[in-house]
Amino acid sequence: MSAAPSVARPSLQRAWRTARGGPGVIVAGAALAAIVASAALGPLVAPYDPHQPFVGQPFEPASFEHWLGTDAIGRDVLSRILAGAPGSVLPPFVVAVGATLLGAIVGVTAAWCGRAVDWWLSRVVDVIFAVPGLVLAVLAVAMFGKGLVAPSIALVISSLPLTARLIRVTARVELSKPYVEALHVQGTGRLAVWGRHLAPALAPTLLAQATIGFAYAMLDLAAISYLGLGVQPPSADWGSMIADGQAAILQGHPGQSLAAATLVLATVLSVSVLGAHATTWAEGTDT
Amino acid sequence: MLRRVLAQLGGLLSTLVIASAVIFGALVLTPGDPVSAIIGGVQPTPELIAQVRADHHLDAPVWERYLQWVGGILSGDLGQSMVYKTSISALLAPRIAVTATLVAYAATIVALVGIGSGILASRGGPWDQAVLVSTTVGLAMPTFVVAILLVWVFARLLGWFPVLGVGDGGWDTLRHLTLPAVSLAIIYIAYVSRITRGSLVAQQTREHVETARVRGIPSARIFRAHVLRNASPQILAVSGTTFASMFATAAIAEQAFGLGGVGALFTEAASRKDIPVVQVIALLMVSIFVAANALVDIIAALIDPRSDRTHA
Amino acid sequence: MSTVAPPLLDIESLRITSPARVLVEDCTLSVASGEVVGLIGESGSGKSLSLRAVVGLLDARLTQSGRISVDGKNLDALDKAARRRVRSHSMGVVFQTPRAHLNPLRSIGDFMTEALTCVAGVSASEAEVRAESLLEEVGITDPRRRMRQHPGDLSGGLLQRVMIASALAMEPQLLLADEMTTALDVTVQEEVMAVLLDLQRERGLGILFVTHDLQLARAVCDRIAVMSAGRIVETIPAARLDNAVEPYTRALVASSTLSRQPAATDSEAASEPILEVRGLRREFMVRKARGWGREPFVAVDGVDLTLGAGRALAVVGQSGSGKTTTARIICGLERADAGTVTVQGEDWSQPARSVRERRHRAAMAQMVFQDPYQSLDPRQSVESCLAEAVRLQEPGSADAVRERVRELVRSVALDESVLDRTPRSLSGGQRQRVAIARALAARPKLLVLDEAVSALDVTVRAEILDVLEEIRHDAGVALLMITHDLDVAERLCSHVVVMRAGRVIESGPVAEVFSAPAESYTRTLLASIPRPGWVPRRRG
Repeated sequence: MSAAPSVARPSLQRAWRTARGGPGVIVAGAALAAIVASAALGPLVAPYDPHQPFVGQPFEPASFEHWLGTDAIGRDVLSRILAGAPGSVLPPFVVAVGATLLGAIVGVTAAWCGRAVDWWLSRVVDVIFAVPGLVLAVLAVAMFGKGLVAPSIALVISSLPLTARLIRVTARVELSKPYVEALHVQGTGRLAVWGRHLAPALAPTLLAQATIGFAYAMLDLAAISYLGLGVQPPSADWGSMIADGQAAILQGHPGQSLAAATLVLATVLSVSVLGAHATTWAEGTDT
Repeated sequence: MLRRVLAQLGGLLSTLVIASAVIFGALVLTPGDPVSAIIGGVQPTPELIAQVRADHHLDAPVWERYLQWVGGILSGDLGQSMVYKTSISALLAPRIAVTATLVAYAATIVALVGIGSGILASRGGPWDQAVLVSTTVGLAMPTFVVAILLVWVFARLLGWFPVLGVGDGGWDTLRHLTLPAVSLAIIYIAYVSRITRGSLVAQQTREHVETARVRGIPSARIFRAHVLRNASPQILAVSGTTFASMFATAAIAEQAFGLGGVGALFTEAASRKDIPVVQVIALLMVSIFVAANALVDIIAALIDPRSDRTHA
Repeated sequence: MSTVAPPLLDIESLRITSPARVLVEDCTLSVASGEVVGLIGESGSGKSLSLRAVVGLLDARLTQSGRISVDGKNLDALDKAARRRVRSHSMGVVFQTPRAHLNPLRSIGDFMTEALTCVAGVSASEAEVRAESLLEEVGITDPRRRMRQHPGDLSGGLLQRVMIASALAMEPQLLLADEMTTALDVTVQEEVMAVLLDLQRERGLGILFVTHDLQLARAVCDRIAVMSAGRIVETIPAARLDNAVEPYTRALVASSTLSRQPAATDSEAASEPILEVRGLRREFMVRKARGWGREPFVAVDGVDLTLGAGRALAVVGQSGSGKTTTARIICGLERADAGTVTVQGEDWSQPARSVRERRHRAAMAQMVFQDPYQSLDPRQSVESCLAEAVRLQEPGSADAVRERVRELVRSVALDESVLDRTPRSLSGGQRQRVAIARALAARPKLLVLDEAVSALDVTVRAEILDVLEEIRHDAGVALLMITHDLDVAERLCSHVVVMRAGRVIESGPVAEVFSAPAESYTRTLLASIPRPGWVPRRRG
């Protein structure tokens, strides 16, 4: 098939033109790049030991030595933010990718196998839909103890059926289009129909689901840590840092909580903006 | 129509039964010995262990314990807390009042501001842009982030609102619950606003609305009788699920503002492995979801007289 | 025709532009009292857009200039409220799809009385009485019961009558109709047109009748304005249409009256049957109208038909007659509950079980679908689409495939430049040619065409029919035409099968069946087709 003209894709130039988007997209892209870099390198470049108390005075304001100031026991906030970055960004990413991939597999299987699987899928979706993700995550903590692993798995379980159902519906709609019947009459094999025609049709939906899934997973996992059920001291992620710094706000030192909250917000926002943009772009190749 | 409502209720009831079985089953199969969790630090003697196992019916088969549990709940006996050693009903009663007030307060804000701004945005123009930008930010604003911002600005810098506890009832309670309710509401406002705008805009461009315009029907009536009415089942459905999930998210607002509500108890029970309490509260959350959806379905059935709603 | 009163509708130099281009230019048209004026043109000609400008439904992104006067009042000179008042009181509008134009959540009664109570300020009980009499006037029996029902409970023909009745609620003298019968079957179209024309005579209405159907327009209109590419090219009395001077009008008239080709009837000699269908039956389970559960609905009920090699057979019937289901069973898209399908001696009664078998059948029979906008993968270029079809049957070197793809494109009279394009950038006619080329890739002996020209403009339709006739004549491909359009059947086919409610009610050579139909249903069907001199009648 290599010599065959492949499914039409927008030219590289057009892709670049649309992918560049407006200023919002550029800002979001830059922000996300910085966040990903800090998650990858952060712990290595952190200026201080994140767990070492009294590297400065308690509640030092931002200064050249401590860019984001220090916390109640004099730990360097920037170092703690950087050290917490992988634990804050990676789990939601894994949850989003996991739920999207598994959801796609289940959804495609349901669409392929037809009615019986469909029926069971919608029953499962109904039940899981009735349990909010956060409740399921807390249940997971009750079962397996504190930490982010169990809640992450719970969030995958909680968002998987919805993705699966969406993929199933999208696949069904696509499969019911006359062009698929035309392929059928033409003698195209089922695998070829699914691989060459259906997969590109599902791509925008998957992309959209993955970005939405990331945003929700980030917020839910941060909430779990904020509630004290996630990462345990002395380790910290952004969610637990918000909780940790909250008492100081009333004393007039909002620095730590605000810094961590800003990062959560910036990550979710930039992923949402880029995701929406990427989805529009992927849909643009469709009619 | 009655048929449709009954079918819906049947579906929701079966959801409830399955969900309750899963919640119960999962937590029974929890790793770790429940006995040690109940006894706590005391050195266990065989007699004590036997006593505890008998008290908590730990030796019966799982399904029997499930039926006992459900039977107990239906007859008003929610069981005993392993940590507090008191009846769960007594633990829950005051906390439910707090959470219900908080959620009702927040839900009112969501309904007014969310649906209101959605309607405003559906008219287009600069308002639409403003609402679009603010809901994009709002959708990324989880309760705990809003909470610390509110605490900082309104409690610390301005000193307008108290930040701890529920106050002494009446006006004072309302004042105490304002910041928690707002922090709980923000993300849902954004969500409901988006959905409201979307379904209104979708209805506005429908052909039957064009017919009404051509016939000279006043625009206020077109909006009320054709646009809003046809969009309302969808708006209602979203409001219903929003309301239900607010009970879960309330845990965060309660934690942030030191309110002793159901969510705070849920968090605490989970972290201390107080399994009976976790079970009951999880079931409560699911029941609220099911009840809210049932209610929404019934109202939607009243709004939409057709037997086949696929074209709504 | 009175010359003293100003025309009911007077459009002068109407111009509509989008930011990108001019959509309608220099449109001048008037409708006098008691006059039916046709505005005809092909899709995209700007006829519906002009009507939307008159009723005030133009998209906000479009700009319009020129003058539109209703009852002698220039709409632009009026303020917004007065303009709405003139529009709501002086004109009624009937659209193409009544089901979409009625609020599905409100009852027929609500719809009928809404304008009376909200705009004219009539009391609710008075409005109800008037609505009832209006519904009676458009031939709806038991209007009181109908008013309690919802649009979902009524058929398309009934809903269109409701639309007509409601358009007349404010007693306007001017009626605007936008493709009002396009979505209806011909027999229903005849009834609705009969209702409309009766009212027109009784009330002396002036009607602006927008349609793509030249035959219908010339049968019901006094004058006809022909629109093409945003301009009115000619306005002439309907009776003089055959003597039109404008080339475009002449072309439109020519392609609207399909002449029967002698080639379609030439081979009277018997030929081997390529397709034989015997006792075909298919039931679907549909939701019961009342109560729980589902009940069987017989879509195809004992259908027999025979198609000779290299011949063309038409299966005609209205919507719901089972003709499309029959075609789908033949092509293996649907299973049969009973009966047999034999293609060149092979038993095709059930869908192919393996890909190999499907590919084997594909080499013998291919299908072309109705909607060219949906029967091509929107993400695939024409070249890739055709190459895929070619490789399935004739796997070969890239060069061989390329050559065959180009040959196919030429065989449907398309330019090679379409190869790089995706369906989105092609016109409906081009897409349908691509679909035909794709079907031909397998070098089939039988082509099943399911309403393959119904969605196309008449001029394009005529061209595609020429291509099909050429394929049949030159390559000896047998054609099974599924169509509701008897003209298409007559143009291309030597034999015809008439279906109704799942059954074959009449069959035989086209010439015999159409000139001397044995069945009354066939007669009704033939009589409801608009032709010169046609007068719509209410039946039954």
